[in-house]
Amino acid sequence: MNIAFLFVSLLAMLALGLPVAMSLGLASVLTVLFFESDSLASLALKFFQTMEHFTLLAIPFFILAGNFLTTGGVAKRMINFAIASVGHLPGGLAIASVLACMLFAAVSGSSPATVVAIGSIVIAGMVRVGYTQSFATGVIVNAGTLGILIPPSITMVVFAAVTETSVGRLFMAGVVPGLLLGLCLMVAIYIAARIKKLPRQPKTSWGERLRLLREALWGLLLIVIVLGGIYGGVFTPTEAAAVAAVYAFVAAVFIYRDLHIAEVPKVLLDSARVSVMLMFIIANAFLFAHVLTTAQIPQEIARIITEANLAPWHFLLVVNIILLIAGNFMDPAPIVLITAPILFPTAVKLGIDPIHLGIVYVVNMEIGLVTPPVGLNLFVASGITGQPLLSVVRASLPWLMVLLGFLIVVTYIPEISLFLPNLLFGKPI
Amino acid sequence: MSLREAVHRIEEGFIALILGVMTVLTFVQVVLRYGFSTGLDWQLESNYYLFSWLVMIGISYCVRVRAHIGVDAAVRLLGPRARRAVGIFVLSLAILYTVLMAYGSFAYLYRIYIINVEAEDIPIATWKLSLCLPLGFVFLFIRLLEMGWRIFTGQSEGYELADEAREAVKDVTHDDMPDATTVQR
Repeated sequence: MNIAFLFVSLLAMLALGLPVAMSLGLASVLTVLFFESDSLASLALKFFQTMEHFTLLAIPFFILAGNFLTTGGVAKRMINFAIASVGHLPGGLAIASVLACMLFAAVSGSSPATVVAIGSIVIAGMVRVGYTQSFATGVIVNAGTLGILIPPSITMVVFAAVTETSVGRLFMAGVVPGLLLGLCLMVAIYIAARIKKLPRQPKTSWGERLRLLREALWGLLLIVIVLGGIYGGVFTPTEAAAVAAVYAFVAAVFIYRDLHIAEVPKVLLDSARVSVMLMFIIANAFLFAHVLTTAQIPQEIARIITEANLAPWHFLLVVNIILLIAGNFMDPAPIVLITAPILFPTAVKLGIDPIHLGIVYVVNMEIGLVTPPVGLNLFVASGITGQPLLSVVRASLPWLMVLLGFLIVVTYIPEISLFLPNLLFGKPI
Repeated sequence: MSLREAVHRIEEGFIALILGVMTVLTFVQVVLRYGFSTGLDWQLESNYYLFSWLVMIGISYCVRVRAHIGVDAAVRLLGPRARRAVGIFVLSLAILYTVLMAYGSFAYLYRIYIINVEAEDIPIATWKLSLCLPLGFVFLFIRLLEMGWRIFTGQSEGYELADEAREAVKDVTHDDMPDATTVQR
């Protein structure tokens, strides 16, 4: 009864347009007031304690690092290098755009940011050399989702915090799937280019490539610092994020000189705004998770499912369906925060590796970003190209099939995700 | 500069400053550990409280700049009148939430005020460091009342949610940051 109230009121408030954070909070507070004995003071304390989560501190730092490097200059250099490397292939400019999205994803933890940074430059470029606008947009909308799969990734930090898994492992686990998905998209473009006879770019000399790589290198070093530092045990993911933010500041202001020092407070404020928005949702989601756990709901679901003798892959199929549907209506962070506390205990009980589940989550969230009505990447692409939303949806559809195929592969072959973290950190005990 | 603008400037400066200080503190900690094999023992606790202040003061700021996200797919289907009615209802839910949380926060703060102990590594009483908790909800309450006024006078159609897509592409289209309190419709 109390749980029915919790879910019905949550869904009703969400549907009416109350902000996600307050919907989670109010549904939880009312459930506690009506059916349980916790005081409001103890709920306020629970809310407050969220900020003690050291992992969550990584969120503002990674957002800050990303924002310093999201200025046009860094994206432009990555694009130049990508075009010089693979532009001569059939469909070269589109393949290079995917490569640029992959490179940019390694400094940014957000998908829409990747679409904006890369898309606002390359879509027009592709159209100029003879690609259709729908082809160009479709590629970017989907390749941009790599922003949350290739580390650093805000979605992964949120998942790690709410399930108490290791951010470092999760980041490492995203590397191979990220490269693989990029490769899948490139192969799909290559095939399409062969059929449609899409243009190639002139070949670039190795010397020129090397020069462009050196120009893009300062941005790319960020991922080396983050992954290398975490892997080498030099610092925790949160410290890595802070170091990355300081590094990105130095790179943007003093090395590339893309950003004037007077603009720094604005970058700080922008980053703080997004971080606070996320943290407000997270703190309320912890209240929600608290109410669920007090009512033993996750444990109950885990018991029912283990008793039903559901195979792990059956369960993962259910997870995929739930997340794909949710992805149509909500953003990655709220979905992770609402569903992970419910689904995670069952997954662990069925013997699914928490890190593998994390990657399955992230890939589902990527698809959610490109499916209507609330696919954020679609809106962003429509915003930067001026096309109507519906044509963007149609344009991204063929590439969405690549993402869906990839989701199946990642769901049923855990080794793709687990290979690298297990190799580097050893198997978890 | 009007009083309102001054308050906004202070609010924004405060938020940007806290994030900057947190970042530098964490960075310095790493440098000290590797460069000088030492560390600041108050760094972790300071960051925790700084983060709390950032978030709590930021919540009401996010209402002002329309940064809180929500699901508006259903509400968009409604006509303007129904939308406004839903908006007023949703706003009252938001205010209910804020009042309940503010009450809980004051109750919690009163508890630690009575106990009156200092934080572990910082020589300041915990109740002073935790003042941001009720303060944040009080500010939120004020911002929500302002939004209520805007809905009442017809400046807003309903609850003001973020438009993330517009937010993300603002650097490309050179839109200024939408500020709910200055938007003229």
